[in-house]
Amino acid sequence: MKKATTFTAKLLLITLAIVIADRSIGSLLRHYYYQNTHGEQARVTYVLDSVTDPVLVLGASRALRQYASPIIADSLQMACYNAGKDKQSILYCLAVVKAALLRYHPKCILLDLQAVSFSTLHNSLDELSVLLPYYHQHPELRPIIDQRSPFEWLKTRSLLYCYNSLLLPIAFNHVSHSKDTGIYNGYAPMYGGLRHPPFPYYTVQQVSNPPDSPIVAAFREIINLTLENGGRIAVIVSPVYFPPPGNPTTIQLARKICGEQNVPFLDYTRDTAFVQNKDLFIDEVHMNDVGARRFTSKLCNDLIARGFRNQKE
Amino acid sequence: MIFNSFAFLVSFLIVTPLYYLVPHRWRWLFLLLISCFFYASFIPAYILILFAIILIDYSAGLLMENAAGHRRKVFLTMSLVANIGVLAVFKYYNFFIENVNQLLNLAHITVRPFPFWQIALPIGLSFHTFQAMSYTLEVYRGNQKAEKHLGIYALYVLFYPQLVAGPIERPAQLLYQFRERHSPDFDGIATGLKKMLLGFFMKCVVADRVGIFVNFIFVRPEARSRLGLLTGIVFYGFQIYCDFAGYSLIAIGSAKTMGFNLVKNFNQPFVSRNITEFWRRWHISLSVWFNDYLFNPLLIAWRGLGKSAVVLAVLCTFFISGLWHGAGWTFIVFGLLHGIAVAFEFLTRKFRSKLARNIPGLIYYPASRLLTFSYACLAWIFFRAPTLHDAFTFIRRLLGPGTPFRYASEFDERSLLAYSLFGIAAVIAIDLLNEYNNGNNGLFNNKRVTIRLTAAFCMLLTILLLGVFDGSHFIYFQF
Repeated sequence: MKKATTFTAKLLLITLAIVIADRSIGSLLRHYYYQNTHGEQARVTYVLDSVTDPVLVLGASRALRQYASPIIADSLQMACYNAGKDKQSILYCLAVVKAALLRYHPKCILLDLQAVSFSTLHNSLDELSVLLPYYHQHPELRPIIDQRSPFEWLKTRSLLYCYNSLLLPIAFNHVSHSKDTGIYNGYAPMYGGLRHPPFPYYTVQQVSNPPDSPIVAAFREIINLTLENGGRIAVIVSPVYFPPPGNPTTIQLARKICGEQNVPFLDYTRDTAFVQNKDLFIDEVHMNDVGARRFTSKLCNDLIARGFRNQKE
Repeated sequence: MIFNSFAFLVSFLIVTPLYYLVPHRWRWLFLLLISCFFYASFIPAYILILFAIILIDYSAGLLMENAAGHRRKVFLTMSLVANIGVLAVFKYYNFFIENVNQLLNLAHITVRPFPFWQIALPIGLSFHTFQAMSYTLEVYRGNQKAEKHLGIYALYVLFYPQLVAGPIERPAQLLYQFRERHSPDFDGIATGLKKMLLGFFMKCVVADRVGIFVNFIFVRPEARSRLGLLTGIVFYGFQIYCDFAGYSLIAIGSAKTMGFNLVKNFNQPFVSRNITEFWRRWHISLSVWFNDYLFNPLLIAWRGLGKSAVVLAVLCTFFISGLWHGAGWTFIVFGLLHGIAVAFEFLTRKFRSKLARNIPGLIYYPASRLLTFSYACLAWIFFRAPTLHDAFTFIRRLLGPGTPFRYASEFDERSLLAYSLFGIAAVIAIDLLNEYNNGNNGLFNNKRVTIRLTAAFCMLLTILLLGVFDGSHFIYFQF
């Protein structure tokens, strides 16, 4: 009996200590997280809390690196913010749209798609962890984050879980004096030529994988939300060094959905101005600044031709 | 249901207290149902395969016990054919067909290629078939009485903590424990919880964290710097160790909380001074299995060949061990590399003893450890690479000319690197503490309760702060 009491007491003590640590360390992390003025976390906070530019670029690293916001702003005559984020998926884009719509109605959304965007659910859900710090502050994001697991609502009771693995990034950003130089309204260009001999990035199997229904649903929701709130949206597949093989499932389905909604669908993966042009790429799927500017200019011309330029009152 | 999932944690917190509340005579049934539920949570239909294997081996055990002479061998063969047959069909069929098709192609024989079987491998198949085979082999050898109670025997194969990735138990070690009356032993429960905690630490904080870097390196080795490749393969060594040892600790710990003792599966393998010692410390339950049921019988059968018998038996055992790990040439090469090393060590043991006497221990032993670890890492390149071509590309880039050594983009994520190095350093520290404390973890088993509690608290906090919770599978589940 004595052993049972001692054991229970120790267990309770550790549990209590963990709860206190969770609240105290978690609160500290939250405090410093929102104090970050630069770095990736600060950019996410800015995108979810503050952006009000009429043109929003959404997507993953290819959106971030290939859509030169200043050129878009000049061409479409509307301020533009590039809200692309490395490794993210359509689910993250939906989160950005939902958060934005609570503040304002973007006039134009440029959604960058990859040849495999619809079949990356597992990775997409993992990468959604970047939204965990916003679980309590942004209730509109909860249905998206809750897709990560059936117990997400319970796990997020823990503050340490919400700020899991962020200790060092927060600390680095606090002690680092280098600001986000070289980022222009979200656009983060890369410089230089090909870093290594390029190879066909997409395999036949990858591009033929069946679409994951939650991602397709999110894609449809982004289009519907934008249109319902009076905005316009264009879906773009930006250039890659080697065109994806065959007819990728994602591109087929996205084209079909866009067609149903009368949304422009622009596929540049086979555009000869970009394909296998060594001067424009930094690796198989990312263009350098020269390539990004050339692509953005071409994209803007195509968008203007479709009436995307701001009509000044 | 994987161990590093929240669902498992919730289930564990319900199942363990319930186990003690269930009357003793129904506990086997309770555990059996829980184990079935646990296994069925992966692919429900596959539990039928397990049931079939259980029935065959259970019957074979009873029949063997009641038979004599040649008939015993017939029943043993029946059981082994069933077990190996299931493995052959589910695990090796496609590998076999792939090679047959390639051979036909090479021989310019134009026939329609044999079709592949598009079916998922039942999770942990190699583990529970080996455990089942050890039962019939032990009954055949007369070391074990046949189990009369079908439910208890089924539980021996299905016991959920070690069902999908071991440790591979022996009937003499486990079966009797299902009949024991377990009352809550709070020291045992605490020991079990500490083992689980360390297991979660190894899996979530170390294995899954370094795994992010490793995946990045192995996806495109041709685009990585030499330093990146070197770091990648060293990290992979720690990933696979922490993944599998972490799993084993959770399995052993969760069983211990219910009063069951499972065998130790890892014993600080990275302090091994040669590959032979490495296999005495790495995946111990598998090494012992192969030693008892393959290596020793082969050695006895070939004893007339002298030293060659040992070399042949070693190579044969490691060839099969490689194939056990996976149906692919990469795994066979992995096994053979280890076999060659063990055979080499056997043939040079006198020379090496002399060398050890002539070189100061301060140099010889650390150098031996480094060499052993490096060789294990080299073999792991084959274990990790999807194809032989990929493995050789990796090695060519790592050792060949023309690869830049410089600090490259693979190290851009500073926090990932820092967390990984922290985790690896922690595991090395824990292993060294264990090694030089007679297997007792100096912090968890400290005499002072405050130190023990602080250690547990810090580990739990580290898991929450730095763990990776993406629900990734354990590497050995695929086997």
